[in-house]
Amino acid sequence: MSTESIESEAPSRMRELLRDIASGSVLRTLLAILVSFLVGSLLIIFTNEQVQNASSYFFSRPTDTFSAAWNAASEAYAALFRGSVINFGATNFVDAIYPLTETLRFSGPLILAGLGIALSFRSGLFNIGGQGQLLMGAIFAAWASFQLDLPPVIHLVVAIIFGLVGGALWSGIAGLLKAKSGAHEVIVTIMMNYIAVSLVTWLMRTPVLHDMTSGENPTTRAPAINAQLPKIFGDSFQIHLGFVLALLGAVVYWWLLERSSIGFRFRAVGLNPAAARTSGIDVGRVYILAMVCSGLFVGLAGVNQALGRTGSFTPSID
Amino acid sequence: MKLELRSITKRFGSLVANDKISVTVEPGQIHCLLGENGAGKSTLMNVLFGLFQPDEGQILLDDQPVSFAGPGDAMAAGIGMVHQHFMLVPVFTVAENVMLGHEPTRGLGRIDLAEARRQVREVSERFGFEVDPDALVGELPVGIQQRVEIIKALSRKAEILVLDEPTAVLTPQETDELMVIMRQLAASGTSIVFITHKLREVQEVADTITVIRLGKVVGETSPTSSAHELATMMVGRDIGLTVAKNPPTVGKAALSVSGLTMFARSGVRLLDDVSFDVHEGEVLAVAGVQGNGQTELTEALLGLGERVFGSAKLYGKELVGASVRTVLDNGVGYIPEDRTVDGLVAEFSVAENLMLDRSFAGEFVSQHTIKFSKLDEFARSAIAEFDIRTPGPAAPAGKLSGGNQQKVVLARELSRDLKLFVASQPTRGVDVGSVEFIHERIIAVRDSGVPVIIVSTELDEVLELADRIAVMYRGRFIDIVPADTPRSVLGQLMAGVTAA
Repeated sequence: MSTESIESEAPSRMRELLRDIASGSVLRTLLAILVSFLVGSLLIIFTNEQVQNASSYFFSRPTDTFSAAWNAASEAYAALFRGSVINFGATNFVDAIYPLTETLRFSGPLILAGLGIALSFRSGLFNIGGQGQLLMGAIFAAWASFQLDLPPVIHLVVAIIFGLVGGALWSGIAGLLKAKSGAHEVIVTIMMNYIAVSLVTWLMRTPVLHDMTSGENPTTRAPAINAQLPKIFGDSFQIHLGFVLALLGAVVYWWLLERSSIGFRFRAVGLNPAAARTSGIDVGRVYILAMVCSGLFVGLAGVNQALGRTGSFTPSID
Repeated sequence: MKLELRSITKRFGSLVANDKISVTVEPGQIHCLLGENGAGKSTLMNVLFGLFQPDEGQILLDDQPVSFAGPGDAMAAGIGMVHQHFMLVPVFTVAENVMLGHEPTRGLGRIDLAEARRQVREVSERFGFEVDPDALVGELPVGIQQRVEIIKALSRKAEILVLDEPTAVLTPQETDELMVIMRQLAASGTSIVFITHKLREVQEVADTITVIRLGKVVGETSPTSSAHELATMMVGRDIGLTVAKNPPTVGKAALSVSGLTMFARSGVRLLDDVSFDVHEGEVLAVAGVQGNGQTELTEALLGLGERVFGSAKLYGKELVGASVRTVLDNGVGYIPEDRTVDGLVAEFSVAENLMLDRSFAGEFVSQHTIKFSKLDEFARSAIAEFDIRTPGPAAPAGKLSGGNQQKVVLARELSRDLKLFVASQPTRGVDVGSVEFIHERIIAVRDSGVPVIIVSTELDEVLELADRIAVMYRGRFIDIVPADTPRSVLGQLMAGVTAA
């Protein structure tokens, strides 16, 4: 082992970790799910009353404990499946698949925020500021959704754009600071999270976001009908356009990172900033742009949260 | 002490780094391990030093099998190692460095610095090292620092001394002095294992030579073998050691550098008022001991440096202060000193690396979308033209050998229209077979009328390629001399001594 390898270990270990996170294989994902199921089962079993009762006479009749454990775990997972995928006890089709559409509705913001964070990681940036970017995206969209008065479609589009701007602005500040002064994005984005939470909470007590007649608690006003994300499978279901936006986001993400020249530079900087710089890529500019793009995706997740509802929301939507 | 390595095998996954290597070093012998970078020399020495455990095979000292769990065991058994990169604390004195790790103590654990000084003086006098025990290591020249490393090993009663590429950082004069020291040590009974890839040094100092290729011993030979025979053994095929080149057809001055100065953050001058011209169709080789401003010179020209002043005009266009992209757009091709850091993205495919500097515009990009079919086509032709040994254009560049990685960089840089070509250490860590190819391509660039700047710390390479030689010393061009200047004069210049 030469000293060179020792010296380069510290920064490259961070990069290694990033790469590991970004390049998870299918097998690893499946194993992770399996392990989480197993751990979940254990927690269910150990906290179940029947199992605890049966285990008190474990050595005289161990089968009781095992069957109680099996029942507890299988019942819990069956309930989970009924509640989140298909309700096989339901009498009609709508009720049966309703849980699935709800799961998809909730997945929208998670997909978008995940894409945003993944984008920053691929570019070599530990964007920990998803919370702040999402909140900013949400309140920008929310503000536009009830403070502006615009015709249908246009109002929605404008509100979405506001949300995108909110998210990108918040992440862009971290990118700018990193590019110009070398301030580490982990520290900056974490601090920006605190700023966002406090700012949003305060704004939700002022007329900017709050309906002053509706009490002291920090809430927004409800989005105007024109600015709400429309339901996509009729009124029987809650699922709305946000899920479609998330799927579109995934396609855009794929093109951006795997097919576009901008994404090529993101990846080059993420994997080896020195080589990227030597090849004429302005690393600082890539940092800013990557953070802005990351914030756009996370901001859209915030839009999903703000406009995918008929009522008001509180600072806890992140 | 007699050292015997008996059929040592070391595997890393599917890679066999050492395949049944057997080497015997007799007492008082200088035994050379000759091989290209990546042949397995360093792995073998790490096994000997206890840093790696061999998968098979035995280490014997004076015919007794031994096993080392770590460097501490190896040192206790009398094996000393001088690494290529020194393991010294610059702010400590020589004596403090020498005693570090096995400090002599008086009662109550007080450090006995006088004893350490005495040890340094004793070893130094015995071999004529001329090392002052109270000098700060950081202020000593590299050659002396290396002696401190040797004293460190000897003060621990090392009877077998391993020198890993010891001459990489030395001037020719310092190298000669090291050779003298090695012979003295051997004469006093110390066995020396000398690891190198430089043929001239091997011929000069070795008693026995073991040539290693691809993790295997190819053969043992004596220093009477010719350089050509040794090179052929190292590479495994017949190769020419010199490039056939015509005299240069020198045109007008293309690059005019004047007063180029670069400061470190601390205010130290890394480049000190460097001025020179490079003409069309000539190779200006920049020689010098590593760390005398060569890296900074190329960085300053490429727009990679900070705090750069002065001027560097390429056909009248100012390069100082321009962004890297502007410099590249002006037709500057660049081979960076360390390709794994600055030249390639290891995880990117060969094809992606070939377009690394062309993601903004050009044939591979339209409407911000990469044209992968076009890129693939280009990559295939580059792989064929530059004889890049790769499973295909989609193979990650990091998986290629050093020489093939360098060919990827070369292919990328030479596939643009060049007005100036700058190559820093173009054959460092490259197998001898590829060296020949890379040198031929560089000469071909010169012959096409492009001005070429080569920076190399290997004097052999400088003499091979240069039409004129600039010698750098402490950030300055100490002199620019003709290509037929004798080695001894160049060596003087590299040490900062001018003829006048």
